[in-house]
Amino acid sequence: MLWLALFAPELPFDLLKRQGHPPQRPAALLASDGRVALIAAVNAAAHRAGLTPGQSLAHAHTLAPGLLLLRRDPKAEDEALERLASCAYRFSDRILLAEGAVLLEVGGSLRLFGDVETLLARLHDAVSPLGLTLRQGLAPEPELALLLARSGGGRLLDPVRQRRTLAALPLAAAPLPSALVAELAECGLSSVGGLLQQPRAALGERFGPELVAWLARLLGERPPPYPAFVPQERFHAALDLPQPAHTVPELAFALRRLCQELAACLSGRHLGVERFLLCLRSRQSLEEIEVSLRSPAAQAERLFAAAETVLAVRTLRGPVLGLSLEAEALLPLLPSQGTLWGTVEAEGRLAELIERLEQRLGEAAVYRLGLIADHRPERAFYRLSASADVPPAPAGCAPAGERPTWLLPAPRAVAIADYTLLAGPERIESGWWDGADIRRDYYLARDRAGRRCWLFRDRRGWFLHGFFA
Amino acid sequence: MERAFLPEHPRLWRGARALPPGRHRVFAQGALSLPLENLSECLLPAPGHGEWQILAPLLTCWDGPVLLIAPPWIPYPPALFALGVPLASLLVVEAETPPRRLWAAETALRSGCRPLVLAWIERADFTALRRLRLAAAEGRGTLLLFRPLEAAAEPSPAVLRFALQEGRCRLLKGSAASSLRPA
Repeated sequence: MLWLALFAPELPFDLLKRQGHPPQRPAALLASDGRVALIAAVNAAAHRAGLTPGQSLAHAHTLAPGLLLLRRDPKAEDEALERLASCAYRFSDRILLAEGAVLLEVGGSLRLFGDVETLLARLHDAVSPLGLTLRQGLAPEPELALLLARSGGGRLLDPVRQRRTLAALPLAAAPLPSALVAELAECGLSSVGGLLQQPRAALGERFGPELVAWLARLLGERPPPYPAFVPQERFHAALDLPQPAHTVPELAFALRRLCQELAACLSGRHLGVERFLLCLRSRQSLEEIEVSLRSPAAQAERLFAAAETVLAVRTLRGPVLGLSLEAEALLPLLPSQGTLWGTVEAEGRLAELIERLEQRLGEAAVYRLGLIADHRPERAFYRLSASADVPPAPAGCAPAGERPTWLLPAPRAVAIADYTLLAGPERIESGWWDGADIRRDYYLARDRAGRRCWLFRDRRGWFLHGFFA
Repeated sequence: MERAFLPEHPRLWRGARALPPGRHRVFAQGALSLPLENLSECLLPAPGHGEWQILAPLLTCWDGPVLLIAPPWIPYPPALFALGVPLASLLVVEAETPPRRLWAAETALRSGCRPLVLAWIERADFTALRRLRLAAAEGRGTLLLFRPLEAAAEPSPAVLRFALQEGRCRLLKGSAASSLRPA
């Protein structure tokens, strides 16, 4: 067994970056307990300005006047970890969710990827679109991997041989209550080594069963208590905008972010979406916009292009404060069928072009033309969907006489005096079986401008039907 | 300069003769040489003065997607089929306003599938045309615009411009390699 722990030490600040706030801006997390507001954590920019955890709010403001204050958002943090687990799903069949971390059993996947380095490199590529700062810990036991990740990262592949490294790991990094860690420090126990030297029963009596259980898990004597990650059948991600957006281009950053996250989570599970819902939240209302694609997609660029095309034709009802993306049906992605030698890519590009045109102009505005064996000129063809294949011409399609290259959508009544007849008549009499019967004499004629036209005369008079151009 | 144009039965002109790729990257079929990956303009007093006499032989030899953006009427499949035009590669795009037509043309040129784009856009200023020419070069698509004859007086970045009237054509702009030669 080999466990990889991915710990996100700066999760609240990563979520802040995700929203679009620049990382150079100092930011601090407020402690939620007690009546006095204290700083619980700071980002790198705030640290450079001199802020440290434990300072009061007033002190912090004097050091960094433009400080951005955050409160913990457990729901957003859980969603971020679920997204991380979705992206990592490709690399492991057993994923656990711990506090601020995701644990993956990768021993079973090693043979597929060759070696640990390749697996870690691919994993890094898969999760980087999420924009999280991660520390990695690699060990045979999940609890040990988690401790390694929380203490800055590292590998401990053989705890028996590497006893000294194990002993040096700090207890401050353990996922234990801070009060317990402080108590242990007072007794001079600040590293794992110190704990290992004490008899287990005495530790339990003095500090409680939680510590003993954790130590047992660390050494592999007990299984981990963390819940398993179960991939959801739907995707949901939301983002608050740093400033209200009044026009569609201002939404682009947030939209791209959400599409990247959706794409990363879908790729991790070899799934795609054919439609998703965008929700624009403004002060008064919630506007839902559906974006649909022609075929299941998982690439961020394609999802973003589709969403952008749909949004481009709309005007926003009011300043938008937040954006969310929801995808209900996650469909398996099939490898694209196609001919050999690079035409697969060309077909894919054409399919994407058709998709974009349809989204902007409407599905009825983009079509192909096919043939029908019918004597009536306006019925000798039909429109079919742009992404369908045009079937080969059915038998009997070749008309008796010459046909014009342009056909008017509907015959137009004209005055025969404006035309000079050149050839004809060709009688077309057909359609008695479905009520749209015609009896027309068609002629080739020249109009006043010199164009060659297709005219017909029926019982109602003379009509222009097409041009030989 | 009047030049006799294609005969009225393009079925006679089946063979494709592609010039070696050079500065103009020209596609030659019969008497027409269309510059590839570039913008050309065909100016007519009104639709119906002989577009398909150029298009039919061109399309019988074109390998790849062909988009018709805002054609004035229906490209009539029985006639096109009889002329040998491959219906399966045609895609008709209806767009009502000139900005939408320009957008559709540009999107198609930049799509990466290297299409032949035939677009009927009445009004387009020099900037829009230059943008389309750039899109054709960068996306490696070929654009042929159909515009009213009045546009002949306006400057255009198109590398080839010719006027069609009653089945006869007149060269307005274009160098020796990308010109219409007598049939």
